[in-house]
Amino acid sequence: MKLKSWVAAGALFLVSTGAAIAANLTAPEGPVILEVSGEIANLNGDGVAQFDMAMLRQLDWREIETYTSFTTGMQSFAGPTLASLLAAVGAEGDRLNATAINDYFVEIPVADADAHNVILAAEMNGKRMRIRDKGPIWVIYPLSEAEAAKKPFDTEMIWQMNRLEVLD
Amino acid sequence: MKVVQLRPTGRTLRAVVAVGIVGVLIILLLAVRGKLEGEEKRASYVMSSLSWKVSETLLESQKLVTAFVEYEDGAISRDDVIVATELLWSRMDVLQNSEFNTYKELVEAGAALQSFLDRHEEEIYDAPTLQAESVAAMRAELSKAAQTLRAIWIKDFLGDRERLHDTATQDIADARTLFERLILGCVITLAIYMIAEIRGAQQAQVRERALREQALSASEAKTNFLANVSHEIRTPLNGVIGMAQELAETPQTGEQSQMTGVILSSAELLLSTINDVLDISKIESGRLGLDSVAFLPAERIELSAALYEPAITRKGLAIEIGLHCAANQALVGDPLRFTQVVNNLVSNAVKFTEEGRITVGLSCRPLPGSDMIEVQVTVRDTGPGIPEGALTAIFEPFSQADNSTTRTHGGTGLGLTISRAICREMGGDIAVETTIGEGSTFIATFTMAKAAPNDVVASIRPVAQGPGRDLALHVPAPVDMPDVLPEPPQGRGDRPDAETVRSRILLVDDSATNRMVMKRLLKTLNADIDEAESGLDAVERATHQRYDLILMDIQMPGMDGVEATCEIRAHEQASADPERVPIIAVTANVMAHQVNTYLAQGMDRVVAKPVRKTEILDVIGEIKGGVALH
Repeated sequence: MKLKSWVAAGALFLVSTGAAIAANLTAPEGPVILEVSGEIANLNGDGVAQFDMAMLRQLDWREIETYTSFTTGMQSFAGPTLASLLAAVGAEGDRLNATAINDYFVEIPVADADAHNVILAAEMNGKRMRIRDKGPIWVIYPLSEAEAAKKPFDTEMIWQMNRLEVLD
Repeated sequence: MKVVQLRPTGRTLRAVVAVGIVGVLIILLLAVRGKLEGEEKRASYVMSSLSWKVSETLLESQKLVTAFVEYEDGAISRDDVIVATELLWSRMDVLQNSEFNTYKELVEAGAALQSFLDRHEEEIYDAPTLQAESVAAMRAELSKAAQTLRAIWIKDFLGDRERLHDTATQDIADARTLFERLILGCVITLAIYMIAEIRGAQQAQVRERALREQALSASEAKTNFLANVSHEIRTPLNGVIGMAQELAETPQTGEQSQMTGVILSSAELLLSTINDVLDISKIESGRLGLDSVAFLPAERIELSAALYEPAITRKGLAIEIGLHCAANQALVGDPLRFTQVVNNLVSNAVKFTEEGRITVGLSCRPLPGSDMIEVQVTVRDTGPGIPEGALTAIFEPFSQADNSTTRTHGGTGLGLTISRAICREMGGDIAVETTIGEGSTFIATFTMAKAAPNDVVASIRPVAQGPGRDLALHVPAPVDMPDVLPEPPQGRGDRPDAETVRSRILLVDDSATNRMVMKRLLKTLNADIDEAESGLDAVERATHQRYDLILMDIQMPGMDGVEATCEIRAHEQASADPERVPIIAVTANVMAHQVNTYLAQGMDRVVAKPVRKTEILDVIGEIKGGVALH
């Protein structure tokens, strides 16, 4: 009973601390790579939360090796998890509207972030992705080679993404 | 035999293989359906995906063109142009990676765009300044490349969609062709199997027919063999019986008389055995050949009883006849075979009964709803009865109730087998009821039609009979015979006397023994007897010499008796003084249809071989107008 209470209290502390930190989102210093809007609690602009590369690197940055149906062979991607980004902006919705530089867009369920360990990849094989390489951000669902062949998330795996809107 | 055993296995195997093929066929069809559905889905995905990729490429090209224009106007920065260039660049590998790498024109158009980017990358990205003239030149070049791509796309997507579709569905077509071939292969295999099966069945049928024919002809050969053998045995037997009879009439010592009696009874037994064996062979080959003439069953029963009366009296038994059937009730059937059954049952009763009585009953019962009559003959004895275990066996060939080697009663054991076959052939059967120590009752049934009022009834008068004589060999005299009888010898000349006017008889037989026997039998007639040893010889003599009577054998080498008779009759017709000589057929072939043939061919009577003296003399007496010549 006692222990549980302590754990709960600790968890509450951590969450409120995180929220407090996020609430004070710093303004980006470098070029803005990603702009988050919609149902979010933490802002650093006019109704939006903007991220430069340095800010993204401060999120839960991961490096994974995976397969996609658009590439040949195993690829290495690096970038923050979608979950950490959503936590940082205090997202309060179920759906995400992801939009690319050229205004291509797709809807992604918020639940996928945890269910599929979705990565907002900014680097591919150790290098920043240029636009021509599907940068600045390619939404990556980690998959085995066999899974990738079935193209289960090809629609959701939007590339050249630079905007994210959190919807109810 | 081996073949017969192996064939069903082979056939089963083939059937299993066929079922297997059908199974494979079904699985293939399902697989094809699934595969084609998948391929179809994939193809349409590829189609729409390609459309998307091309249109995105066109869009990005057009956007870069616009970016160039805006840059010239100073509306956007060089970085914006770079982003637009990057976006177009990002489409390149997508287009080149597409499943449509066989689509050459599209690939070439894509390569042209890639080439544009490669050539101008440095200028757009890295040159110290981006000159308005070169931007205008790039814009013009990119516009042209984009137009080319669009033209190809318009032409192929809209104008040549079929080819596009064919390209997209190439895999499907390949799969479909493969599956179609597989299915065709299965169908052909099945068809071949079915044809083989039908052919096999046909061949089996042919083989079976051949075997059946072979078996039939083998059975026929057996029957013919038996018929020939029995004929060959009957001829010498004729001599034995005839001579023994003659011998019996000569003065003899008691011992000699006894020996003659043994010879005679042995010969009679042998004769009846031969007849039984012949009957069995006919039954087994299904060629009993029943006659169908009107006759009086009651008369036959009485006759049969009369036949065995001496034997019954000799054993100290009594016989009782109960006719529950109108004496003049004429039925249509085979009188000889009917009599044969009755004789067999009565003779068995006599044989196995040591004291008491034998009761023979006849009853007729009309079958409802038809003009058929069920005739029932019961023969009851007071013999030992038949053990239950032997009730079936007594109807089996060569079997008696007492089958031990020391059995007390003789006989072939064929009588009941033959009788039952006859009854069954005549729409009935034989049943037996028996009580050990009290006696047995045999019930023979026949189903026969009522004779029509104008049917000629084959009636028979009782002639002098001896015990053990098989009545089946007696031939009924047709009732219309008196019409064709010749004038008695007295009709010629002045009241002739047997002493002064000797009859002239022609004796025709190829066997010297038979002729000698017959001559002995006819000795009492005191007639002049000429002999002919062939049909031709007989015709020769009969046409040159008047005879009062001809005794004609039937089966002779060269011209047979029937043919000779025809010749003689033809000669009579042609001559100025047509006087008809009586001809008596003397033959072992006395089946009803054979007798009818002889009569139709101009013979007047038929006497069965072996000839009994009383019988031949009686028949001759009848022909001569009822006046016995002896």
